[in-house]
Amino acid sequence: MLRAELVRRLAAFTLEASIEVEPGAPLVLVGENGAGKTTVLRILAGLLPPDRGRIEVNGRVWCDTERGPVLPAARREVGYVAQDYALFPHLSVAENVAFGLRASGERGRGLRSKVGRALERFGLLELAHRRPPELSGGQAQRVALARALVTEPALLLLDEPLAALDLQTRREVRGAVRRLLAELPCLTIYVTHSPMEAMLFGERIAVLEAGRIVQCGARDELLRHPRSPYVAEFLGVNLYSGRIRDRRGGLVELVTEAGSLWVVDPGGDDDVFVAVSPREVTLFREPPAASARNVFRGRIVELAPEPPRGERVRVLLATRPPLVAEVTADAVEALGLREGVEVHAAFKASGVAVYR
Amino acid sequence: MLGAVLATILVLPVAALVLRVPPARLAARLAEPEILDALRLSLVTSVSAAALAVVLGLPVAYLLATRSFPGKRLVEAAIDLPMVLPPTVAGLALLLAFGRTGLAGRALEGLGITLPFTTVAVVLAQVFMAAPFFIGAARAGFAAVDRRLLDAAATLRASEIRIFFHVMLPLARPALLAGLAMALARALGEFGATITFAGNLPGVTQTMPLAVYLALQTDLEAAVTLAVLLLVISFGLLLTLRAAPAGRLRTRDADAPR
Amino acid sequence: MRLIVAGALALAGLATPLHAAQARLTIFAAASLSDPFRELARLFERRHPGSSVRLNFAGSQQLAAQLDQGARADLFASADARWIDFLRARGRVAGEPRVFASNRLVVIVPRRNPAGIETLADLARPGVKLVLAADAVPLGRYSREALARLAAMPGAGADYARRALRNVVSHEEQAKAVVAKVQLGEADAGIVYRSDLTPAVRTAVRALEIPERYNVPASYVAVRLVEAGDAAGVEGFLRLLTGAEGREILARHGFLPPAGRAHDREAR
Repeated sequence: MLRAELVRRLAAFTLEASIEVEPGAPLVLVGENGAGKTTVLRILAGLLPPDRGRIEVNGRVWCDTERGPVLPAARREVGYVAQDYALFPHLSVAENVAFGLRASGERGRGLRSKVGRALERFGLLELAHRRPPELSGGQAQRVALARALVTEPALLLLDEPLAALDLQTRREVRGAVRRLLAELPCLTIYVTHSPMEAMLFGERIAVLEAGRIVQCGARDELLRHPRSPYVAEFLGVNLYSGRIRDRRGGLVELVTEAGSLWVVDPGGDDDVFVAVSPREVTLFREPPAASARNVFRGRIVELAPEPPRGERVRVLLATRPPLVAEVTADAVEALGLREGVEVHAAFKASGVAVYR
Repeated sequence: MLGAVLATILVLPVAALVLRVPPARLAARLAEPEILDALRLSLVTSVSAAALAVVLGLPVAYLLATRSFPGKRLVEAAIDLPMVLPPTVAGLALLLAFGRTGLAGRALEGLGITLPFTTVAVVLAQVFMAAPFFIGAARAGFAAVDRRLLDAAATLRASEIRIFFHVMLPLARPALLAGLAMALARALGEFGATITFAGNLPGVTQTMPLAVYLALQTDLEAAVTLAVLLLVISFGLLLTLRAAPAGRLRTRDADAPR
Repeated sequence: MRLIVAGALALAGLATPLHAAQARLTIFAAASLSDPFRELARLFERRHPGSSVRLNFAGSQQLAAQLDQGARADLFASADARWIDFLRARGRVAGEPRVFASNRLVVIVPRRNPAGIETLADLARPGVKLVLAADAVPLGRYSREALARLAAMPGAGADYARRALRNVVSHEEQAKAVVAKVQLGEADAGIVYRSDLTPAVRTAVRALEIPERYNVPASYVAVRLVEAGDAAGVEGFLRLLTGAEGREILARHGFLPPAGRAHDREAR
């Protein structure tokens, strides 16, 4: 378990964040560029001292500005994957992976077998003797992950691990990273500026805006009760994963755990993610005659006015699959929306963003 | 056009020297004991001086590149000073510091150590003149090492010493070699500080540049021959340093699985 | 491009010798003559309004080499007649060489006198740090000759010169460097010209005279060079140099009249 309270003055604002991470539940820290995400990671890693703060990992205090001394980075059991991976250009892939072990005093057979296993796990055996400049982006990312994880850190910090990759590679790697996050034994913080990535990777998401965590919670919580316009706009989206079942006229039918919906054919047969912005969802009291492919019927579970002034209202629906719509306060009035009222929710197949 | 002008200024004088001396005469000169003495002395002292500049200069360059402390600018400027000092003035300064009646020299004298007129004084003069060149280059080399790599090393449990030897040093290697080459060249060619501080005694303090200068007083041809000899030897040394494969350190691949 | 041409022209302008416009004299003189020649040049310029004298001081051998390599001058004043001969052999000498002064050697020791040198015989005592001018410069040759002659000194011992030479820790490239080493106390003794003992030097060193019979006097010789543009001007300067006023100025700076040498020679 990680518990951290951090305060540090930055040029534009003061970073003031309180972070908790549970084992087995990676925390995704999302925010726009310049929000202070990397600073949080650098403080946790021991690369930057906080002005005030306390960091405790699995009961060990890494830093307590009130009382104890601050552990230097080298003495924290931390794995840090920087945005550009920061591989040592003068060392082979194997030596990059071995670096942390050597620094911890590991030698001989133990070192060899640990490095070997890490290389194998990340599919790097063939590349063991290459140098970083000879690697592709995806390969470099795997080396960085292997190098950070081989030391079995208590806390893994991933700073935009996908940002340095081209679109194609990113798409290929995303699944692997997701699986990795799910099975990691260590406490993990994943930093990204991409709301989409945050939605895909994080059961628990913390949203950082100008040095403050404006909201932290489960993905559903962000969807239902976004606490800032940024969260509402970028993170409060209906997200489903599913299998493609049927193809018809450029559209596919996607089967999710809780019902199926139609989306524009992304090609291929892999599992995909789809995101439906609540603003794309239109509500009707009567069954709509319009051409929308996706129409669902259900009762209103909750009406949640959006910050800051409640001009827009989130409408939580017990449809299959469950949906959140976002409408104006005027529309709530006009349609007579209340909790328990049955409505029809519709959105166009073309209004759905598909990811894989 | 500008390049051609520069090349003319840099290369023509050297070429003029070399063209004036038939190779046979070079070989003949090499057989003379005084020349061999001067040559040997030059090589021994300049290599020692360059080595000292490296050993003493590395920590300084490292601190300057990685730390900030009050008065850093002053320290930097002070280190650069020998480069602007006319060499004979530098020699005088060395005398005033390490001479028999100098600031530190008096204490040394008490310990029975006298520096002027010794080979050690030659090395000292060369270090004084050459070290700033090495420190400057090494400092720039260290500063150019990507900070993110140092951070990565720190999060991989590496102590500062380990980071220095395993990340800083190998990555700054091309700059360090360039600095070493400059320091060596400066030490090899050093004249003014040497003759002022160490004097001029064949076999003890008479390095090649001193021999060349003194030959110039009597016999122009002899001077030119010696100068070419110095040039050829220096060229060989510098070329060897430059040819050292830049940045390719032996990796310890032995430990990696095949 | 235009800038480069302009720059090149400017450089060329700097590199062009300022040609002997009327009454412009360029004099190459031995380094030891610096002080009296500066004074003489000022005097000459005062006497000949509109004239100007440019002085270039260095070791005689160095000046001769410069002249041999194409440097242009009107007058050459050497500390050693052999460099006049050297230039004459190359056809650079125009007028009759004139001996205008002489100099004598003197042993100097630091005022503190760390080696306790009281007599000339002490120079050969083991452990003394002796500094001489290099063989290649006139002073160095004279110094070695003097040591050889001093061997004849009563009580010197047969291998006096050899022992003294073994004490040499440095062969300096010029007289001023010998003076500096002794002045700073780095060397225990050195041999220099009498004229090197300027008032400032005298405060830091003690002089041990070398008796006339063992001394090796240096003759200063001046000669007009072939390229001299203004022969009359050069002759004017030579007259000043060898005249009463010149003698007086040279004497004030520690030089002896040329007769000294002639006399010395005849005496032996």
